[in-house]
Amino acid sequence: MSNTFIIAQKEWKDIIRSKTFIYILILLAILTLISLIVSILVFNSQLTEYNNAATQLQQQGRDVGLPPQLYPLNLLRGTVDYIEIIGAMLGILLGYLCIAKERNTKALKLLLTRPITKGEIVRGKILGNTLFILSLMTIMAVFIVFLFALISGLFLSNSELFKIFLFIIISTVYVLIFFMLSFFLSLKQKNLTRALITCFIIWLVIVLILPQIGDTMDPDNQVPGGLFKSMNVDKPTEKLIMSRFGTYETIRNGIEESSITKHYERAVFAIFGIKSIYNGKSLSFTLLDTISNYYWILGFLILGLYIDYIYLSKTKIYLSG
Amino acid sequence: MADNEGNIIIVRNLSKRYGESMAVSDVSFSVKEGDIFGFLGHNGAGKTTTVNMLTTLLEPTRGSASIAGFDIITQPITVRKNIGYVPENVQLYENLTCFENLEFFAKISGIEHPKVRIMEVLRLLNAASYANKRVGELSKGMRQRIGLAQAIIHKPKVLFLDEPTSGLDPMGVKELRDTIIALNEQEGITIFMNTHLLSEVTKTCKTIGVLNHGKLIYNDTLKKTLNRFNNEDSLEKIYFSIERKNGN
Repeated sequence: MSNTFIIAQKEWKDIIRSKTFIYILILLAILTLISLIVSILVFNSQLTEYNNAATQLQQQGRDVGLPPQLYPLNLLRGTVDYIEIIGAMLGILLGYLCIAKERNTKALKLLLTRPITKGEIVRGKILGNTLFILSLMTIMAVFIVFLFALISGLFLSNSELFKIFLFIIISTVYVLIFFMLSFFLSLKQKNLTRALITCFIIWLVIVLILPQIGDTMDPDNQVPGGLFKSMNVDKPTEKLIMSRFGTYETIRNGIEESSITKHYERAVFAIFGIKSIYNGKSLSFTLLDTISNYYWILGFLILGLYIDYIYLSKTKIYLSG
Repeated sequence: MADNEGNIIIVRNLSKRYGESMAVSDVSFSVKEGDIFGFLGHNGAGKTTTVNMLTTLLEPTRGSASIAGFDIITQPITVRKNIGYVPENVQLYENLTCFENLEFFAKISGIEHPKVRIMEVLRLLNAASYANKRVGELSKGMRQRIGLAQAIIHKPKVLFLDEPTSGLDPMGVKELRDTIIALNEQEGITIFMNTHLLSEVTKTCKTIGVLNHGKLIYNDTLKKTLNRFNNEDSLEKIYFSIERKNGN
């Protein structure tokens, strides 16, 4: 077995047996459960509202529109939202802990006095943690499928299960990107506390501030249900109005696109049909329509891999403290 | 391999600079195969920096060194195959058992089927009954012993110990000292021990080197040292006498 795999295996075993793993699993399970229950309650209240309105309209002899349709994967909006925030935080903590622990216990020093290269250590640690994140996301996905069946008696179709599989892969890559950022800083900064603080500042900017600025600058977000819809402005007119604000829109979009979180959100919202225009559309259409988000996610991943795999293998890293 | 004169560690003008300050300055010495070498010096004298360079953790600013005939700068991987290292207060992976920790270090040291060797080392260190215990559950003394086990699992020629008795109780200190002597005598491992505890040096080492402000100010066998300073009655007085002569 190569040294990279030996280190990855050790890394996996070490995390899976740690208390951190148990805490993370419990936290994710609770959040998934809460978000799913809240989504179901919201849908039920929409349905009750519709039924009441429908009864009144029928009594008045007026036409009744279609009832709100249940797309099961739409109910995962809350889950996606918390992975955006907590998943990124989890990636940062994993990257920090996997180095901080070994710097404090001097195990990193021991590793570097063995007949292996720095590159093998870096690759082994990234591989071990990738497997851990992938397992965590898989456990969570299985839990989601189980909850659907248990709470609402819904059994997901094959195509919905495939979408959940895509969600596992995209979420793993998303968390991994934050892992690589914190892994890099924890090895390159002499002061570990400073490394962690830097990571959280970056987290704050990428996960919360940039998407928030983008959302706030979006005129359609200013009124619940959409500004244009509330003013009964149709789509062509909306487009015409927005074309007058080309520069403004470019800046707003640029701010959103600089955040990996926004790309993750757009990709998963499209797959799950949380963004309503993708409901009832084929998966291939959805994937092609949001392909630019995948390019961005891939770009961030390649950048992280380049910095961690190549740069860290060749430059000075801090061993203790 | 030792050279013609039996030296397994050869250090020539080794220096390490951190910014403006010289942590280690033009240090030269050699250690014979089968020796227990005590590297003495107060805190901050440059002992750990020297060991970090000899164990290939740090690249020297100037000078050279070889371990078992291999250059620390140009042949670091081969040097690592020939050395074992126990840093001060090493803790290993606390969620893994002692056996799993040793298996990991054995495998990355190139031992493919390490089970027999692991049990042999654990028996040698009187730790066989702890094989299936997680490292996180062990006492400090036992952790130090497992730290020692990982360092000798691949049968190194030279073992570097950085303040090995730090934080141990008197019983733990005695047990570790006996183990170090046993490793030297039974396994034929050359020991390089960083310490500031003179009592440990008297009881364990055959040769000493004294480092002060990054410079080697004394290097000789313990026997000759005690004879040379025959008017002094303990190594502590000798140590202070050496340091005084060097203007401290």
